[in-house]
Parts: sequence; structure tokens; C-alpha cells
Amino acid sequence: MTWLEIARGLVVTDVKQITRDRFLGFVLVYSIMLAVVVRFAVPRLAVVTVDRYGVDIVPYYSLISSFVALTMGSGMVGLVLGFLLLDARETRVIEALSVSPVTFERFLSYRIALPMVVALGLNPLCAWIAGIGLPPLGPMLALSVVGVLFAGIATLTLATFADNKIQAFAIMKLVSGTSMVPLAAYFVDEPLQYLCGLFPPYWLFKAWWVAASGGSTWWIYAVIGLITNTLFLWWIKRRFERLVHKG
Amino acid sequence: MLNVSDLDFTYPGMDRPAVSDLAFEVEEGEVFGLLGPSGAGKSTTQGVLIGLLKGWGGSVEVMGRLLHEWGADYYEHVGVSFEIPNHFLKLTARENLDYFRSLYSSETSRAEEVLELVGLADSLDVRVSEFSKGMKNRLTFARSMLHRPKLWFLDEPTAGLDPVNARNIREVVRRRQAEGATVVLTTHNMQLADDLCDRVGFIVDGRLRVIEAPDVLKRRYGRRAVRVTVETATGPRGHEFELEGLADNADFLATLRQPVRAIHSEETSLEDVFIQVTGTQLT
Repeated sequence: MTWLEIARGLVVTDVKQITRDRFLGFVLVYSIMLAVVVRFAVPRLAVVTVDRYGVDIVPYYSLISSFVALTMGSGMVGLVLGFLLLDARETRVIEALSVSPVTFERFLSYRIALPMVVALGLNPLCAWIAGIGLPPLGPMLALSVVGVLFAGIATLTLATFADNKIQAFAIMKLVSGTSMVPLAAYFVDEPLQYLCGLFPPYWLFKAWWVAASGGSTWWIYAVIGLITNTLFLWWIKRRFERLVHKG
Repeated sequence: MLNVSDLDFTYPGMDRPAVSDLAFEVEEGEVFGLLGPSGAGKSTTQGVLIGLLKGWGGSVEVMGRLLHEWGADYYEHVGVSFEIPNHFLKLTARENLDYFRSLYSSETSRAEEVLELVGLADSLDVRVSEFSKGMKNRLTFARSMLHRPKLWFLDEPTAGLDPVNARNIREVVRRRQAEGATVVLTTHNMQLADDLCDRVGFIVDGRLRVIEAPDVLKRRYGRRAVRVTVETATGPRGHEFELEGLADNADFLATLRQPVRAIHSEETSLEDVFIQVTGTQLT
């Protein structure tokens, strides 16, 4: 049984489960819908805010696009697959897979990899659809790739800290909320804004803002983002493994 | 087929081992029962043998290889029917089974075939979320035999089933045994164990107290006698006779000439043997 064969069977099963659950299906397309709204509504809003209130929101375009491109798509797809992982935990399907040629380790690797693979396409797609405040193509693609780590983090956070669907909705809101916290750094000067670095998405946001404003040091923040997000992903994966083996 | 020696396992954070110094062998083609009350260590033992629990001590050899030497290919040969059903609830029974079939490189049975065996053929395309607990249990059992495992672990396979379906399950196990499968049955249902097992091991407080064939145990701990109840003018009256020399026992033959109400063997049940051996009630 090759990895590809295992993944193919699991993907088919995942697609069936998602398409049979309206909520999950909606969450999955939500990020694309929001990107469309950003593309068409934000420039019109910018005109209105200048005309009526004399406030120019164009300088904040990169703030908006960083969220759309780096955490919104990743977060949504991660949460949807987090629901499936929680479901597998609740229904003990994980046990059944663990005593099949898939094994627990392979299943978990797949479950973390799938949202990241989907986000690999979704992140640049959302950025392209939003189309405002984007950095040059190179940094944009590089940061979109690093941003996929957040998808795996979202999946594991939901499946690790929620014990049931009710708690999962609370965790979902928490993940969405905390992923926006580092955006506040945009309004705070350095070095104080580095405090937001406690939230791993901050470093990628920072890299995006620097690249969008034409700066050349964006890659330093990208590397820090890569390291912090990877470490966080590793830590939460360990927590999930302990949780399953204990239970 | 299976050789376990000095098996120890302690759950993280616990002071006392869940199982300790376990040693037993299971021959190829045998149905071996691990019997004991809840919390005795049956499921822990199974958890180790099916590779779900890590960090155990001792030695476990399965199909000629040490357990830790096996990789994912172990599960090409091993089937597990869990006590608690575990399925993709949004998928139908067929979709669940077809998915699991796709995981094995060896030849597998069709979903229709195994569902027919457990009486679920007409629920093939019903979502599992609509199944009753008994139906889910039967689906778990059906899934565990999809790849015709050489070594088959069954954890309370008839729990929650009505008598007809429980009998079906027993017949399927016997048929698979006749085809060469080795079965490790974990249960606290002594009747089921008595029906199916070639040998049983009594496990209490994580330790195996005895391993023997059910018939041998019943003979060893039971009374070899029959009780004949006859109708008399003053009401029913019972007489007990030793099996030894029964055909030549004049009193027995004379009793049979009276109106016999009932004849019962005084052979003990496996449950009584368990209580005598372990001093523990089954719960």
C-alpha cells in the first residue's frame, strides 16, 4: 500500500463527508467568497470613506490582503479538516484506522498534510482574487507557501482542544480571533509590535507588509515565521498524539 | 501463532500495572478466550497485541516475528473487531467497507458478502448514522473480516445483539476457524466463551489465574452427577446420582420408572468455575 493509494482513498472519503455536511461545505468556500467581497467592495468603500469622511484606507490594503492571503484560506480549510479529525477522534475511527495498513502515524500525517496542500493553492488564489495591497509575485508566492503551516495548526488546534462539536465551534471562533490579533501590530511601532511575535502568524504578516511596501528584508521575517509556525505545529501535533494514546 | 511471555503494561500516571507477568500461547487455528470482569486487563492485553498500546514490557511473538519487528504489514494479517463501534457515520455501510477494503493489498471480500453474513445485506446503502447500536456492532464485526485475517481479535463480538444475531456471529466465527483462522476472543460472556473457545484464560487484576479447555475446567471444578426430579403424591422430589456407574445404579433405574418431571446434569457452568478459581464475580 503506497502513500498515494492511502491518500487517494482518504481524500475520496473526506470529500464525501464534507459534501454531506452543509456547514463544512460552506466554511470551505467562505474564504473565496470573502476574497471576492474584498476585491469588489473594498475599493468602492475606499472611495466612499474618502468622499464622505476624508479617510483614506488605501494604505491599509496590505493589512487586509495579508489576512486574506496568509491566514483566512489556511484557517478555514484547516478548521474544516479539524472538524473531520475531531469526528474521527469522537467516533473512534482513528482506532479502526490504526489497526489497518494505514496506521495512526500515516493517518495523522495525511490529516495534517491535506489542509496544507489545499491551502497551497487556496492562499495564492485568495490573494489573487482579493487583488489589493499585494507584494511582488516572488514574496507573495513564498509567503503563501509558508502560510500553509497555519492550516495544519488550525486542524490540530480544533481536534486537540475540543472534546465535542459544541466546544469545536468555540475553538473555531478562538482560532479565527487569535489569528487576527497580530494584525494589531500594523498600528504599533517597532520594537513594541514585536510583542505580537508571540502569535506565530505575526511574522508572516510582517513579512507581507514589508514586501508590499517594497522593503527587501521581508525574507528575514519569513524565515522567523517559518521557524515559529513549524515549532508550534510540532508542539501541537505532540499534544494531539498524547491525547489519542491516552484515550 | 501467538506467544506472549512476561507481559507487563502500566498506563501513564498509574501506580499499579494494568497487566502483569502475562504468559500464554495461542495455537494456529485455535479459538482462545481471555475472560474476566470489567477492568481485569482483557482490553489492555488486546490493546498491546493489536499494537495500539506502546511502552509495554515482556515479549510478544506473532506469526514467528516479534511484535515490534512488524510494520504496517502486520495489519494485512490481523483483524480487529472492537467492542465499541467506530465508523464514518456520514458514509453508508458499503462506503465504509469499500474504503477499508481499499487499504489492503491482499484479496478482500465484497461489502455485500460480509454484510450478508451478519444480516445487514438490506442496509448496504444506509448511512451508518442511522444504524442502531447493534447494527453498528455487526458492521464492526463485518469490517474486521474483510481481508480474511489469519489472526482475528474479537472484543465482545455479541455485545448488544439479540439472540438470533448473536448466534449468527458465533456461526461465522466457527466457519472462519474451520477455514484456518486463529481467534483471540476477549469477553466476560462465559456462555459465548464456552460455546466458541478451545481454551480459555481467566484474567483478574491483570494476572492470568488459569488457562485450560472449558470442558476440562468444568469437569475439574464441577460435580459429575445428574439430578432427577419425580412426581410424588406429596409433590416433586429430587434425587441425585453420581455419573460413575450410572448405567448399573439400581436406585437410578428405579427412579426412572416413576413419573419423571425433569433430569438435569449437575455439571457446573464456566461462570461457576470462574468464581471458584478467581473468587471474583463477573460484572
